[in-house]
Amino acid sequence: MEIRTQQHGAVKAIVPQGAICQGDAAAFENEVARELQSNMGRCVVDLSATPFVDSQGLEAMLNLTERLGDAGRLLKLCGVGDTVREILNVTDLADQFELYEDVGAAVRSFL
Amino acid sequence: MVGLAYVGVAALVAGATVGAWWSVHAHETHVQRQASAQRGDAIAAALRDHVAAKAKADDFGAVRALLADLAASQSLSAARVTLGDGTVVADGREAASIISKIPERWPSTANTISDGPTRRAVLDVPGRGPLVIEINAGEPTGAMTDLEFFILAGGAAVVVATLAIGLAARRRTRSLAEVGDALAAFASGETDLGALHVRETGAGSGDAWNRLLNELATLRIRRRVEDASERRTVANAAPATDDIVPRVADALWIGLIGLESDLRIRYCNGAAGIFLGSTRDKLIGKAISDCFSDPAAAAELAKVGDGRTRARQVFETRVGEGDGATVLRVSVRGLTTGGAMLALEDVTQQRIADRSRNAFVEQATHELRTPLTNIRLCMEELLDAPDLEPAKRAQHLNVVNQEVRRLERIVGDMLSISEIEAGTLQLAPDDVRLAPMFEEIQTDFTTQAKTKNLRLTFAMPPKLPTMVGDRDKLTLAITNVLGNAIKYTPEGGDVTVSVRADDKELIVQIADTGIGMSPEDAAKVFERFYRAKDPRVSKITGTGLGLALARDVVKLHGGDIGVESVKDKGSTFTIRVPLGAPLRHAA
Repeated sequence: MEIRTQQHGAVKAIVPQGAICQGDAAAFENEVARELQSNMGRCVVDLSATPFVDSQGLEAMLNLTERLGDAGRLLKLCGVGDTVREILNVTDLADQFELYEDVGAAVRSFL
Repeated sequence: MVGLAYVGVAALVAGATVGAWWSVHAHETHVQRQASAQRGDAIAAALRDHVAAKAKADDFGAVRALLADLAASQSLSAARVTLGDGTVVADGREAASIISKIPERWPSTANTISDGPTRRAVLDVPGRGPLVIEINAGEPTGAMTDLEFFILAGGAAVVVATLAIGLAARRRTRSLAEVGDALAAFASGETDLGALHVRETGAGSGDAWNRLLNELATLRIRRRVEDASERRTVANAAPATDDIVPRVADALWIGLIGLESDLRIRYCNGAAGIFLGSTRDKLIGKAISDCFSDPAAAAELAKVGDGRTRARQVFETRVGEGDGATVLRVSVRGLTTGGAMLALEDVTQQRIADRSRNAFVEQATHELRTPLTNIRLCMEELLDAPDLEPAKRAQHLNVVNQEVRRLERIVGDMLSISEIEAGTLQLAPDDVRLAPMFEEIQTDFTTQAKTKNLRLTFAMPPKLPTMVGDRDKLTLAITNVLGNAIKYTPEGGDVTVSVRADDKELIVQIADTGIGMSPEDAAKVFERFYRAKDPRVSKITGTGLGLALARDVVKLHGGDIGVESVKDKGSTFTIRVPLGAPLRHAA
């Protein structure tokens, strides 16, 4: 799975290109963890190009948000589509993340 | 193994089928040959008396005619009469090979015994010699009989069915084997569910196993969430002061650090670990001066260590290099018991926003000052010279009017941008009749283009649909793009507005032959306050807000805007807006 990044001021948007499933979940977690560390937590995950997340993808996202949770933050997600939003709701995980409508709103949350 | 067994069975069936077919085929051929010989013998016997009578009368012409008819009507391979020495006197198939003159006598030397499909009958012509009648009723055709076809088709069907069953069985057993391997791996301690997944083959067992693992993963996640929730509940139930303080500190996105009097770290929360690029364990006991590479920051911290001040010190320092550097605001305060407390805040994004805001204020001030200066000069002249000639007076008033409109436009853009930024911009959706809207835009810009000696062309279809949108905001977006095209196209150039619509969307292309942009400028042209680095652009007034506003309005309508540009050749902006898309709220 390709993972693109976009710089918005001091904030980096991480944009996975495709579903976060099985083997891709570990790569996704590593990439986001690396960006979070190098950018001191100023990252948002833009899921606008992610149609689906399976249990391993959810676990990866949960690991990331727990890691940030020790520092007073949650993983910021934006551009969440209907399917992924439903998955988050069904698994009661929606409130484990900060959800924003789009990248602009997520970036403004760092102000 | 299972697959190979099925291939073996299929091969056996194929061999048996071919063997059975060959036996039947040989039998059928033999029967056909016998039937052909019997038929040949019967025909030869039937001819015998007739040929004898005609030969006795020396009427071989009648014999030839009879054989020709017979060969054709009975589909004989050969039908001929030869003299005793083998000379052909009549041939139903090859009339050219017969002799024309029959000798008075002939010897008896020819083969008179029937062999294979060629049947022979001998008769004697008194006083002259023997005649031999040769009839060949034909070889077996070798055509496949119904029975043979049935055997081969049946055998092939059995082979195909065997292979198909073998393939399905192989897939199923392979899937089962992979599940078995996964179970063995699980028994050996593998807990990564991703590693335990098997290939999805479409067979039931593998997919069922994968579904089982997915269910297990979901349960694990839920368990983790429940555990975390339980931990929080337990923690809330026993709010011991010693425990709650670090937890409260960890819930802050502000780095908190407690220093000993020798300025070594005694405590830090999670956020401080992230800001200092390390972990708590590694930071405890470390000298705080080693955590900052900025010498100025180390000097500020040293003041606290010296005990020179207990007043709160605030300074900013950069962590990291280049564009990715983080700006930290550090607040330091000495403690009564010795040592100090540090609070670290990440203000990087705020500083970038400050720079943008300052740039905007600077640009806006410049933009507002120019028309205000023009207005003031004109008004002063009008006030100082009440008897100014009417033409001059009208000219001054016209300038004032133009500059006021310009101010209105600038302030409107700024307000709209600010509303979009704050998320308070309200669209007023309604049915928008596109044809009158574009006619109005064309009227507004025709004079402006003519003044600059530009050829402004509107290419519109005879009929345009009605769409749902905010007419004023759409007009604003299009006029901003069109205004830019006219502004940055030198005299004598062309600006073309092409409008088309299909069932789903409105497409507006605004092409000019202006100064164009470099790829770097084109990539940033829709950013707020951005103005191209080209010196020709800096000579022309502009806030850098028009295209940003156009983009925001188009996005709020669910559409998109893009640009293709070649430096010194011109630019083409393309706006696409859905005709009936639900409107988005400003973020």
